[in-house]
Amino acid sequence: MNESKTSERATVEKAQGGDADAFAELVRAYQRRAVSVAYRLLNNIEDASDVAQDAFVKAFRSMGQLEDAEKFGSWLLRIVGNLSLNFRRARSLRSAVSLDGDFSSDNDAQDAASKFRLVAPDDDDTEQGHEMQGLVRDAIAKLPEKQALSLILFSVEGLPQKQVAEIVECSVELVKWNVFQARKKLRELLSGQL
Amino acid sequence: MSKEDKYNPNDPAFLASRALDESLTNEQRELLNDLNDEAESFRSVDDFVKSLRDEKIDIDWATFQQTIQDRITSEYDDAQLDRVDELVQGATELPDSWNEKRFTQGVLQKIESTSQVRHPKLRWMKAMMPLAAAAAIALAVTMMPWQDSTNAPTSIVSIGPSIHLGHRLPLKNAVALVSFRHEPIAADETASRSRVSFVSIGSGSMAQSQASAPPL
Repeated sequence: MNESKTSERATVEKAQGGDADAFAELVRAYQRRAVSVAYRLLNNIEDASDVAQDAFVKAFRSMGQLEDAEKFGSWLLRIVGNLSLNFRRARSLRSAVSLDGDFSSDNDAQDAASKFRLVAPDDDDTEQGHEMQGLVRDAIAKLPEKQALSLILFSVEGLPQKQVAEIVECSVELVKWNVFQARKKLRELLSGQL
Repeated sequence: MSKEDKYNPNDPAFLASRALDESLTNEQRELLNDLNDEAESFRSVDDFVKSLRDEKIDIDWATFQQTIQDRITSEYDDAQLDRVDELVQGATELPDSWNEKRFTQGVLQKIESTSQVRHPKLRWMKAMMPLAAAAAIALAVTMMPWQDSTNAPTSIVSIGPSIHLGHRLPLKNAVALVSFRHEPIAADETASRSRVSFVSIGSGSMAQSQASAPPL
């Protein structure tokens, strides 16, 4: 464990010195987790991939600002979380604007439908399992931002509470509270499925 | 008359004093009785509060703790909450269509494309800034001795750091990366062999002496 930490530290320091290969190694090490977090917050794989890529590019450009090389993971996931939440807010705003619009023609209605597909389940969600997944994803989308992020990082990604606190930039106590509230709300929202 | 001395027929102390003299009107006697009743009720409240203060409160802490415990257990209901985590995990697995290799390539391409646009510019800017400043100073200094037209300098402008790559440019007040040389023209000749007295990279106004500049 310590050995891998030391090795990662060395890789991060190389990347900070401008070594592109070292950064590529970091991308390979963290990409799945970065995309997973973004996907769980955004509920759309294309958006999640874009946001995660942007997060890596941003991280590469700001490597000099990372003071503790051992905290690269937390730092990266904070960027991913922030970009995802920004994207989620912008998307909600777009949905709200389209809701205000008057869908007078069929084309308008189709456009609106395609916009709502950003948060809707995939095409083949007709089977029961997929239907369930859709319900869960919709329920997560209803959670407040910090609760959703804390739940995803702690309960789903399995990160320690201390690291979640670093990523969400709050106290460990608040992480516990956010996770508890998120689970409670999900239990209510999914009461028929439990 | 001071405020305190102002006559108040309903003042309780005044009424009590008049009661001793048995000189109260019926109305004043009723008012005094009301005031007495009110004072009595306040006394009762005060006694009640005092009794509360003295009372020993006996709490069944064991029951209290159990009640809290039951409440928390029902809120946390581990089995249900674990199921919530399972559902969240299952519903948000990355789809098969997501490709790790393609993602890595995408990130590296984005980084490369932004770096290519930015770095050369920065490199040239870094090189040009001090050189341009130095050349501007050098130009001003070397132009000074040829104030009269018979001794005017011939200026040849070339792109690049070497005069061998030079090219005469019809520039006026232009700013360019240049090699610069000049030579004084003797009174009895229209053009003379090049004699480099100063070579630099910089900027300046060249067009005025272009006519008399020899070919490179």
